[in-house]
Amino acid sequence: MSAVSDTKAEPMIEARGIHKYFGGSHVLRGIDATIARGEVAALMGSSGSGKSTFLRCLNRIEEPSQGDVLIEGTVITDLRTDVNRVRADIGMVFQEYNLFPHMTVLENVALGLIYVRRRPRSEAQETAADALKRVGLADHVTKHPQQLSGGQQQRVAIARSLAMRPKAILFDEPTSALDPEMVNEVLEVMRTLAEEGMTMVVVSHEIGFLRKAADQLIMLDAGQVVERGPTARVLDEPEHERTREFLRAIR
Amino acid sequence: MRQELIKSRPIPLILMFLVGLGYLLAAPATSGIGIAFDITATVAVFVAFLFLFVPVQIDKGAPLWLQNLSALALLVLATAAFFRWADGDWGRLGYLFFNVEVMSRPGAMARMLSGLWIAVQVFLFSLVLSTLLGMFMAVVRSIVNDALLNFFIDAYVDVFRAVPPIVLLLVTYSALPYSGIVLSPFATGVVALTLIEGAYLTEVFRSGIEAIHRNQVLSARSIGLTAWQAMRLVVLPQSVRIVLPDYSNRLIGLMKRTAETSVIAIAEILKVAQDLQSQFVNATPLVVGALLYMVVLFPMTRFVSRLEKSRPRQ
Amino acid sequence: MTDIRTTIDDWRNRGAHQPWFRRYEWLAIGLVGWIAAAVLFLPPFGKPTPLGAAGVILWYLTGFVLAGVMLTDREKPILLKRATSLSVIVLFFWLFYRYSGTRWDRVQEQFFNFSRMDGVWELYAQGLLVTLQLSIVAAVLSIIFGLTFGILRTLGNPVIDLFLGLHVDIFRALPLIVSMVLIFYALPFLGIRLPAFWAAVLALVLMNSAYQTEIFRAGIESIPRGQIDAARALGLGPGATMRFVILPQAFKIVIPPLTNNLVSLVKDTAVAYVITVPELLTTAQQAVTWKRTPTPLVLSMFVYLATLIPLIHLTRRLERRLDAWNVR
Ligand SMILES: Nc1ncnc2c1ncn2[C@@H]1O[C@H](COP(=O)(O)OP(=O)(O)O)[C@@H](O)[C@H]1O
Ligand SMILES: [Mg+2]
Repeated sequence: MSAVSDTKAEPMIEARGIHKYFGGSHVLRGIDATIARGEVAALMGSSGSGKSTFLRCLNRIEEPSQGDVLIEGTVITDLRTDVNRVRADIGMVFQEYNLFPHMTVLENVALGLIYVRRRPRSEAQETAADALKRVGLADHVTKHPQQLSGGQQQRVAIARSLAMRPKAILFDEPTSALDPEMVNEVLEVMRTLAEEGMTMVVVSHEIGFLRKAADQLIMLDAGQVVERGPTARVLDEPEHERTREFLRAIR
Repeated sequence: MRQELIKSRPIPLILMFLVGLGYLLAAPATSGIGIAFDITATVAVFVAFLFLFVPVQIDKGAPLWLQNLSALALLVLATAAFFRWADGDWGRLGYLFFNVEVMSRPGAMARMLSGLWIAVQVFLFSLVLSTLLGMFMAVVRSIVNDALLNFFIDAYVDVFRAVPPIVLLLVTYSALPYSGIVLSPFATGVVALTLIEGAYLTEVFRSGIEAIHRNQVLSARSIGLTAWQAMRLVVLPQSVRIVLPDYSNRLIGLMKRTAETSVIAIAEILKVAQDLQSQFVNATPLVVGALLYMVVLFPMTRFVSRLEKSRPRQ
Repeated sequence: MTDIRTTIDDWRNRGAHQPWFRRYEWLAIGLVGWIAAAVLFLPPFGKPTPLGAAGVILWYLTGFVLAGVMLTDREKPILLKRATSLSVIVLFFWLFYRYSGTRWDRVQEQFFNFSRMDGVWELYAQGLLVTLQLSIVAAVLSIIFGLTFGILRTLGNPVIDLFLGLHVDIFRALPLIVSMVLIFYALPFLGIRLPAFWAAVLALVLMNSAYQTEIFRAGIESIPRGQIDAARALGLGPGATMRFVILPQAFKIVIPPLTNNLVSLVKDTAVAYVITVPELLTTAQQAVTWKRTPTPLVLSMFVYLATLIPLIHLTRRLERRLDAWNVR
């Protein structure tokens, strides 16, 4: 149940002491984070530091072993939560696009509207077409994902999230699988979204993009937050040695 | 413990289990209409139970004990249904199916084992012959690649993949002697199984050879190897790995199919077991026969499952 | 097809650098000689003399070497290759004709004696009907069970896995004919008397659902993890994910092994003959006793062929269509 109320001060997403174990390995070691409505938060950290796992805990694709996630003040890591409703309200974009190869682009985008939002098919397809127009793919609706370039596929994936009219979208390295010349078309779409006030949590190492679009930067290392703050501050004057090291390595 | 309370409903599941079990434990109907109702009701019990059972299993958030207990409950229901419908003489179960005394009568076990030995012989002979045949056909088909020869090889493959083995066995055994070809049952069995298996293996080997990319052959030819050399030194060694899972699957199928040679009076396991069954009026020999097949085939199927998991991606 | 004239010129020119035994003239002459030798000198079937046997073997070997040299060289003129393969095939059949020991005068009378087939065609029709019923009932049931078990196995519940794994292991290792005999001849000892038809169905379903469990499981498990993540992230529940995302994709992967399995299921219905189900093979055997000639049995084989070869081709077409569709 999404508690809709007039809560301007209330953060959109809040994570409280998230721990995650995979068998014996302790992957997330108590992560807190607060993302305000309309804010763009960036997650950085070396490979294996737990960025994806944390992101996936936010919509319970991964079940946190301990700790709570709150969406608009409602605890979603709760026994009574209809997790599918929560997920429908939070979009997610994956590194490998994960489009459904057996459906056309339009069907991909309309799927959630039809079977989760229970919209009539024709209305769902209109909404889907609108979302595809917003990412600049109005001409490709009848194609199958395999017929598109990587950049186009990733934009379809963004449209698939957008069409659900989500409260927030989670991006897990959306440009890392792309050829360099396609990175910008995806980042451009993400920038527009940010400007339109979408709440976003982005795992990305595209410094230029983050500088322009991200409000908050969270640096993870070995399952813990080592540093956080306004993007420009963390990028230009990192306080923690680990952050400096990492920034040197990716530049 | 967190769970997604989407569809898994433990309480109705438990209730359904109790109701179903109660029904199944009650005495079965005897009259005509009653039996029809009884059958319907039993099926209904299972359908209803499964409707509640499957969501519990699918729901990753449901507690493990609930999942395991409900699996156990299904098993209990199935057992209850079995005993309800199979109103056999349970006291005689051990006597009829697992009777050590019967199998320890003189010659009984020895005959079973000789049956096993004959089955293995049929298997080995047809295996070697059909492997040679299939290999030859596949290599000819891809090296020679002459339309006319291909047509005949394909026709052979098509025909013998379409014939049920038991039909071919009976035809070769009971019809061929009329035309003057007289073979022993053993030879008949080997010939029939070889012909069928050879057809399948031709396909298996051919797809293995074709899976090797054309560039492999081209680069082999470009350093001056002949077609045969390219086949022998480059293609075949690579295709062995690709072919191995399919080949071993055929091999298991062949071993299983030796049981069908019992219809042409080859004294292999099944034939011996059936003879002993009617001689002793006891089903134990059949059970032992089934176990013998398992003993031979279990390790083989396990091995093949392992192979299939490590199959190279094409 | 190339003009004969230029073809012959071609042979002369292209063969020029070859050693004499690889020159086409010699190979062609050798081929003619080989055929002539077969017709003229090979001994008749019967008491084999050592000399005769050696001659046959020598003849075989030279034939293979000649044909091999001729056929494996891609530069040889197509006409010559065609002639070679034709003679290989003709001689193979000729050899069979001569040395198999078949008394060809009796073949037609014994195996294709249509005058004795009165009333047998009607029997075939009845038998074929039972075969089809058996195939369809068993196929539908084993797909239902195979799919259910396959899905259940992907859930990773250890208790379910134990039982379904046992089912798979047992029925992949137990020959169909053995389980049929067990069900039909041994279960009555326990008071369970199934009609022959349903005993056959049970045995077929037990075995084929075991194979199909693994087929469906492999199909489902081959769907990349990310597909499930994406579906769940949209808010689709486990059932909807299975229905709209996993199964449609797994379906295409599953089709080739599944159709193969179904074809062999249809063939396996013939095994029901051993438990007296009145299917095609059984009716054929009845006709053999009734008409005192093996003709009905031999012809029943052709009925199977006429049913199954089109079925096999149909499945192959389907697979190819799916392949084309997957690649796109
Ligand atoms: N499903 C899983 N099972 C076991 N270990 C996992 C699983 N997913 C992730 N991990 C482990 O958790 C750690 C963090 O992974 P991840 O969150 O993917 O890192 P990142 O996205 O920062 O590269 C890694 O060490 C990884 O091996
Ligand atoms: Mg990651």
